[in-house]
Order: sequence, then structure tokens, then C-alpha cells
Amino acid sequence: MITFRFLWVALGMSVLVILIPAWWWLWLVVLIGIAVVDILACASPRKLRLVREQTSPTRVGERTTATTRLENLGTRTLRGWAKDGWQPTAGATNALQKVQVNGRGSTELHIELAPERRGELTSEHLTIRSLGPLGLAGRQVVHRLPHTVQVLPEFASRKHLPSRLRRLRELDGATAVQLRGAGTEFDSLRDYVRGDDVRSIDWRATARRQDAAGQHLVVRTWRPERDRRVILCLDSSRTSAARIGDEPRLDAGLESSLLLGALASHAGDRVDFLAFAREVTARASSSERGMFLNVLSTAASRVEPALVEADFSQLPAEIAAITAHKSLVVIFTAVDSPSLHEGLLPVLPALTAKHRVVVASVSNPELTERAAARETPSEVYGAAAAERAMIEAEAVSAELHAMGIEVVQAEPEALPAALADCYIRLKATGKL
Amino acid sequence: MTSQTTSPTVSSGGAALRSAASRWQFWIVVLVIGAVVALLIQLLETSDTETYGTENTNLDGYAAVANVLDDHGVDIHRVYSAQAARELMEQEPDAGVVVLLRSFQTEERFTEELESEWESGRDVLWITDQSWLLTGLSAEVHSGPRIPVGTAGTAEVLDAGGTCAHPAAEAASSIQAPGSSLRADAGCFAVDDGSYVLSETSHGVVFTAPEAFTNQHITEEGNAALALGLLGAGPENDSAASLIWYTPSGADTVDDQQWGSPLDYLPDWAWPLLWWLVLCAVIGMVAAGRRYGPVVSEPMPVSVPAEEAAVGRGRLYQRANAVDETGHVLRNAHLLRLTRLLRLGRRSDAATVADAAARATGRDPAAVRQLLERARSAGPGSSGPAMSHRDAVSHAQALADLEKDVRRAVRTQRRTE
Repeated sequence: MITFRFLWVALGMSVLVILIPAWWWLWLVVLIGIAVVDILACASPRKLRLVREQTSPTRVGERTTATTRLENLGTRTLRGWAKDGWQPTAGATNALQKVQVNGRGSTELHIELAPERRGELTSEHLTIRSLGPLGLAGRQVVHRLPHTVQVLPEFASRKHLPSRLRRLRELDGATAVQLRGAGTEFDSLRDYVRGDDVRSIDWRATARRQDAAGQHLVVRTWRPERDRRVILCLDSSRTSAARIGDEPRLDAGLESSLLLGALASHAGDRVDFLAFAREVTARASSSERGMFLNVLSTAASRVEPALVEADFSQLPAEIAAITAHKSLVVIFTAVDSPSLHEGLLPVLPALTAKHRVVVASVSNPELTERAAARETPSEVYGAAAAERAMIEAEAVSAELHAMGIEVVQAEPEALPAALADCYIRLKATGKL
Repeated sequence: MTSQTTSPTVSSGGAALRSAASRWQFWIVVLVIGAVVALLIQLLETSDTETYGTENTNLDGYAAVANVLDDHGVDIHRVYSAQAARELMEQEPDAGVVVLLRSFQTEERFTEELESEWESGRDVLWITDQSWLLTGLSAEVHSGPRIPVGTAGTAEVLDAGGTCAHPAAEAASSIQAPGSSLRADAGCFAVDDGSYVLSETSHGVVFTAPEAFTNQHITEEGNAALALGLLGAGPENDSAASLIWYTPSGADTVDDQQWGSPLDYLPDWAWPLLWWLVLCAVIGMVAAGRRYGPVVSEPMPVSVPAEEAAVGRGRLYQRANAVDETGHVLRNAHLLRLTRLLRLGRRSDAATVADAAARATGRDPAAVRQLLERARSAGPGSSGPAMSHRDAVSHAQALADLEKDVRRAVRTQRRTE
């Protein structure tokens, strides 16, 4: 291994060649000699021990640092360069660094990462280039020691979380819940304010509250149901690989499940998450240790679209394995897929019989645009095809409605919020 | 545990070398075998591939003749320029001269010198297949017909003939080889009356069938005897112990009367410097080309554009010219949306929707009904006239306009409410 400095030295020696051209071979021997001396004098890059420090999980769009400790086991000081082989989407800005490790000493290599993709990003190897004292030549060795950083989904819909949580708090104690047996909890009595449901007025309490000041209507309030179960089922089959806008359909599903999971776990519900294609590929549950959002993010970061047909037939069994109680089952899939008739629809009766089912699907804004473009014959044909796709999706969603299933369809950016609103609406009306 | 904490995270140099050697074993073996084979081929192959070359062992070479001449003690000096031939002729006054003309003529001055040499008693033999090359010798030389070739491709056997005065030709008595002839008063191996393959001119003996002495034809008839007789190894003259074998070439045109090459005027350090700079270029390439470790790969996720199916269906419509089907789909889509916009029941028919839309927008009910009900009259399967492309576009735009109007009307109506 030689450096550019060696090139400059060689170019400089061309003056000697001009002065004494007869000694050409001597100059060559001198040039090779200094390179050999430098190679022999450099610290061996093999006498180096690498320790990859554990990295904490990070989110897409956030920055993190991956640290590797270089321990020099030899006595010579190692000077040169180190290159960490991070994959391009890890966004390593300073993967190539100048290093100096004293003999029997150690140093740390900090690589700044700006991950652009969720999942497990790795660096398979670290290359050490050790240069001699003259910096003309040296030795290079590849240490094959993997380094991994777990990158969680971006969770851009986090911004919706505070407003939705406030809505939940407003619900808490403010909403009259349909009274069904002893199932719903009585919370308190308070004065009637305009807008309260007149059916929630407690006439006996009102009669007791009569005093000189006048009439005070008293209403009963109910605590929204807690400890309900929410099961998020994410379809990661071939339909989820379809790219809408800039990102696959799966990513919108992940965002929505993160927002809904965070919201439901804050509301005191038990949340389970499972991603499936042919079989279940990822799971998370709020009963696990740790903050649920982190648990869910970690599980979600590993989900990748697979080019296989989804196997919905196992879904009832999987859900039955999670809980035997009535729960809210949210299925993230593509409603406009024609294969839904063979896959999901036959399974749904088994689910709706016991659970409340919501189907969340990303609608394609490009279809709407295509349907509106009608300038040329080609565009008209394209518009008809887009309209037809939308009619089919509409038909499927009407069919789902007929089965008593809520269908939430929105564009990728709007889906998380729409789904959260649907959840709050269901909770407010006590349909969980 | 202690060994783990003190051992480096990469194998030692020797182990790395061994593992690399075992990994590349196959290719190293292939490389070595290839090198050996290449060396053998190089050693076995003679470098001379020149036609009529004295070391060429191919069919068109003269190696057989040259070997026999060598056995007889004849030295052959091959030269390619007149200057070199001239120098040799000065060194060896007894040596015979063979001029083998292939594609270049000899320069005039040398031809004149040879003429005088021939007159002073030196053996001069001109060998050529193309007799026009000899026309430069003198005005008396004219090319004759070619040696007749039989149907199978073999040339006719030529006898020495009665007018032949050359001892080598008499000894050979007959030859067989393709070639041409020269017009002369007397000569040997007559092709027809007055044309001879071997004849004598003012510049020396001319032989116009060089094919006769090649490795392929040397064994035919008296070819071998003629070759040895002509080239000075015959039993009658032992004196010619060496031959100057001159083949005129492009080297003749570059003689001292030409301009010198500019390269000759370069200082003596120029060439070493050039080679040194080439070395520097190689160093630069090696320095720039050394990569920091292996190439890093990125596992790419699966991703399919979602509207691909719709785009594909649109193209299918277009290829099938499905104008009616397209209109049908568009009307249905708009009907569905209008039904929802106007808050009509799910099952309301097109006429109801058209009337409601006409009322909302203030359009002519008949026109709106005609626009929306075309589905019934000219739907697929019906026998209505097919729409042209222009009609289809205007129809689609009219539907979109209607929906836009209804949307606006409904919005204003709601605002006023």
C-alpha cells in the first residue's frame, strides 16, 4: 500500500533522473528502498484489537454516534487511517478518520450516523491502514467485526399525540357512556352544562340539589372504559410493498400503529402488535417490560415487506392466542387489493363475531389525480382505469361496512390521525 | 477469557496468507499451468512467418532449402536494406547475391551496382513471382504468361528445354510449381514460345517461380536440384561459401538522404525521464486505486409503484380502443359520487340523479340526463354508434364539469343554509 506522498517523492526524484540519467536503476532502487523501509517500520495493523461499543436504538432522522475502541497490542505507535464500513443509508459522515494509537494504548473512534432507513443497519468491517513514519507506504488490514445500530421508524405522527391525548382526557369524566349493565364505571356527579346529553341528567340527584339559589341540573358522568384490549395486525405481504408517494404502504401502516399504540397504551388499554405475511414476523405487547412505545418501535423497525401473499386464515387463531376477551382488532391492509376477496373477507366473520374490527388502509392520492386528468385520449383511458380501481375499492369497503366493520381510508400522511380519531370516537361511544 | 481479551480481532499475517492461498488455490494453479503452456508455445513457435523466409517452416517458407544450404556450408545473410547489402558485398567479394522481390522494387542505384557486379562475375539471382517488379531492370525485360495450372490446381511440369544453357537447370531437367515467366531470347523451362521461367538478363539470372523452392513444392520434380544449383551449393561450384539474401523492404526508403527523426535530437535524459514519469503514473494509479476495505453493499427493500395496476389497465383500454367501456366506467364513477354529493339513496337510478343534478346546477335536465344516461343507451353490448376519441375526451370532460358544478352548487347551498 503506497500513498500519494510517495507519488510526490517519485515526481521529485525525476530531477535526479534529469541530472544523472545514467543512474536510472539506482534511483529506482532508492525509491523502492524507502517504500520498503516505511512498510517495515509501520506498526502492524494486525496487532490491533477492536471493541465495538453497544449503540442505543435511534430513530430515522435523528443522529447518533457509533463508537469503536481500538486497542493497540503492539509496542509501536500506529498512525494512519481507519474506515468503518457502514452501509450507505446509515449516513456515516466521517467513516474515514485519521487515527493514532500509541503502543499498548487505545483510542476511540466516533462515527457520526444519520440513518435514512429504519431497520438494523450494520457495518460489516473496519479497515485499518497503518502508515510508516515517513507516511510514504504502509499496510492495510480489514477487521471483520460487525457493528449494528437499531433504527426505529420515524414516528412523524408523534405531533398528533398531544392533541389526541387531550381529547382522551376530555373524554375522561366528561362523557356519558351508554349504560350497559354493570360494565361501565360510574365516575361522579356534576352540574349540567350546555351540550351535555339530556339523557345523562340524574333526576334524583337534581331533586336533592335543589336549594334557594335556583335549579341545578345534575348529570352523571362515567369513566371511559379502561383495560380494553387493542390488537394491531399489520399486513406486511406483497400489497404492503406498493409505493405510494415516496414510501411503501407498510410505512404508513407502521406510523399509524405507532400512534394508535401510544394513544391506547396512554389511555390504559392493553395493546398487542403483530406483523404478518405468511406467518407472524414481529410481535410486541404493552404487557412487556419497558416503555411500550420503545418496545413497539423496536418490533416495528424489523418489519420489511415480503413479496408473498398474506395468509389471513391464521389471524383468528393468533388473536385468540392473545386474548379470549372482546377487543378492538385493527387490521392494516390494502382495501383496494382484488385479492382481499379470497384472503381477508372469508376470515372476517370469525373476527366480527367476537371483536370489534377496524380495517385501516392507505388510499392512493395519485389515483385521484389520474382520474381527474382528462386532456388527451390516453389520459381519459388512464382516468377510466383509475376510476375503476376506486370503484372496486369502494365496493370492498361497502362490503366491509355491511359486515359491521369500520373502514378507515386516508392518504399516507393523514392515516395515523384518522385512525386515532376513529379510536377516540369508538371509545367515546363506548363501543370498545 | 484472557486469551480473548489479548488477542487481536484479526488473524495474524501468516494465517491470513495461508487462508488466502487456500482460497485462491484453484486460480493460482490455473495461472501457473497457463503460464507454462504459454511458455511452451512461445518456445516451440518460430518467430519467422515471412513468406519465403529462410527460417519459416510453414508451407510458404524456405527453411528446408536454407537448412540444406547450411549443411553444405553456405552462410545466408538476410538483409532488408540496400545499404546493408552493399556493405556485405564489400566485405565478401565472393558471396553470391539473391534478390527476392516481393512487393518493393530495388532502388535504381543498387540495381546499377548489381549490373556492374554481374558483369564483373558475381553471381546475382533475382527471384520473384511478380515479373512487373523486374521491369525496372531494363527496357529489354517484358513479362510473359503465367505457368499454366491444371484443373486440380497443380501446375504443369516444365522441361528444361533445348535452348537451356544453365548447368543447374540442365541438372534439374524439369520443375513443377506455379509462377510466371519472362520474355527472352533464350532461357530454360519454356512456358510457351519465347517465355521462360529461368532466363538471363543484363543484371543477372532471373527465376520467376519462387513457389518452387518453398517447403511445400521443394520435393516436386527437379525443384530441389534447381534450388541447390542456383543458390550455389551445386556440386560444380564449391566456391560460393556465402549468400547475401536481400529482400527489398520499406527500410530502403529511409536512408541517410532523408530528414533525421526529431527523436534523435532529444537530450539524453529525455528517455530515462519519460520512463520515470511512466513509473510515476503507475505509482499514482496504485495509490489512487487502493480501496479502503471491501465494497459495502446496501440490501435494498422491495418497493413497487402502487398505481402500476391502474396504469397498466389504462394502457390495455387504449390498446383495445375500449371507448365505450371507458365511458361506461367514467359515468358509473360520476354517478356514484353524485349520488353521495346530492345525498340520494344508494339505489337511486341514473334518471333520478340526473334530475337532482340538473336542479342543483340549473342546467337543462334533458342534457344532463343525456350525459349521464348514455350508459344505458350506448353501454357495452348495445348497438349504438361507437364514439370517436375526440368524443370520448369531450364526454369525459363534460362529466368532470358536471361534477364540479354540482359540488360548487351544493357547497353554496349548504353555506346559505
